[in-house]
This record gives sequence, structure tokens and C-alpha cells, in this order.
Amino acid sequence: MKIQTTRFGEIDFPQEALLHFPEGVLGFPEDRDYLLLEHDRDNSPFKWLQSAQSPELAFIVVDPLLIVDRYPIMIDCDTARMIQVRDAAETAAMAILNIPQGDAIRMTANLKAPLLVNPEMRLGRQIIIGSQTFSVSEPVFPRLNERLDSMSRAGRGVMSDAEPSAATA
Amino acid sequence: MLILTRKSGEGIRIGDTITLKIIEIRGNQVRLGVDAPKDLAVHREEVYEMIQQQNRSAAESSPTDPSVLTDVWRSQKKKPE
Repeated sequence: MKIQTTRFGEIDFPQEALLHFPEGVLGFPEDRDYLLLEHDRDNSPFKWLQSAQSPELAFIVVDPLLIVDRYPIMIDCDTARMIQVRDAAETAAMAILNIPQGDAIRMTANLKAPLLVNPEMRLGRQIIIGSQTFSVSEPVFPRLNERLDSMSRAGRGVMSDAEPSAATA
Repeated sequence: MLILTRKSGEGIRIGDTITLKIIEIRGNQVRLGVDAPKDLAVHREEVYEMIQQQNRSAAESSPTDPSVLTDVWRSQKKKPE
């Protein structure tokens, strides 16, 4: 199928690549289908979550484990049912980034309300973590570089596991 | 909106499974007990609104030109070396 986007032009992809959010993302109830696109310049860890409904709507997301070394998620039954998983181990999390205009270095990640995805069934939901451990605007740099450095030192490939999905551009 | 008057210790039921109880009233603060099935996510309204707001601001902040992201990534990646 084909969608129009303001940033990437027309994208042609197999329909099963879509990620379906039955409730949409909070604040965007109309946009329920998204395509995950790699921002694959220079092994960048960023991805774009492009709405299939709104050409101009695209979130930039990153794996929370590239920012913090522990990111435990408790999944409630309602969410488990909605995205058809038994526990959090079957899910992948993505944090939405907020990028100040003209000052992209000071970008922050929303670790309080990650998008939780079932990569197999292509279902997702934005959840809110009840504890006060994480905020909606956690600085991304320099933690991101430090995490990537320590991962490559440990011989672990960057973004090796819990990959949300293969992107299709 | 349905508006009900309740005293401390009283409650309301929503459907078969949800009970709200007024635990305590002190000044302009009310302590509410929510008895809902474990599978329902219950959040303070302002938390919910804050996330909506954060999402909207994130969506607006996504650069219209994706190369902005490449530039900031390149500049940061070099640093630790």
C-alpha cells in the first residue's frame, strides 16, 4: 500500500508492516496506524514513527535502553490484552523524543509514557509508568553516547535485541 | 456530566466492576478510593493530560527536514573519541 508523507514523500510498503495502535497515541486518537522507518544515516539509533493517516505526523523514537541501563516495565492486563502479549518480555518499548527547534542537542525522551509494541502481532499502545522513576523529558545526550560506547565495548552490537520491528521504507 | 453529592464514607458504582469511595474530605482535598479491576489503568487526570501535551509538543518538534537529526547525531557521535 502507499501513503503520502510530508518528510519522506510517497512510501510504498506491505500492509503487514503497519503498527496498529487501537487507541492511537495519547492526544492523537485519530491516527491509529504507523510505519516505523529507520533514520539510518551513520548508524543513527533514531527511528521515525510515521502516521499512515496524517502525512505530516511523525514521531521520532528511540530504544529507552539506549538512554538508561534499566527500564523495567510492568504491563497491566488491559494493555496485555490489547496488544496480545502475556508479559512485558514479549514487547519492545520506544520512547518519543522531543526536539527543541534550533537546539536539537537538548532533545529529551519521554520515558514516563513509552510506546509498547508487540512486534509479532504489529500492535501497540502508549502506557504510563506509574512510578516516579522516569519523567516525560529525560535528557538524551550525553547518556545516549555513553550507553552506545559501553555497549560496543561489551561487544554487544548496537540495537542488537528487542528490535521493535524491521522498518520498510 | 452526571453530578452527585456524596458524604465521606459513601461511594458510587460505575457498572458492575468499578467503585469510587470518598475516603476523607479535608478542606479542599478529597481522598478517593478507586476499586477497579486490575486490568483497568487508572491515572490522575493531570498525568494523562501532561502526556497528551507532551505528545503534541513532540509531534510539533519533529524537524520538517530529517537531516537535522543526522546532523545532531554526527556532532554527538564524534565527541567521545
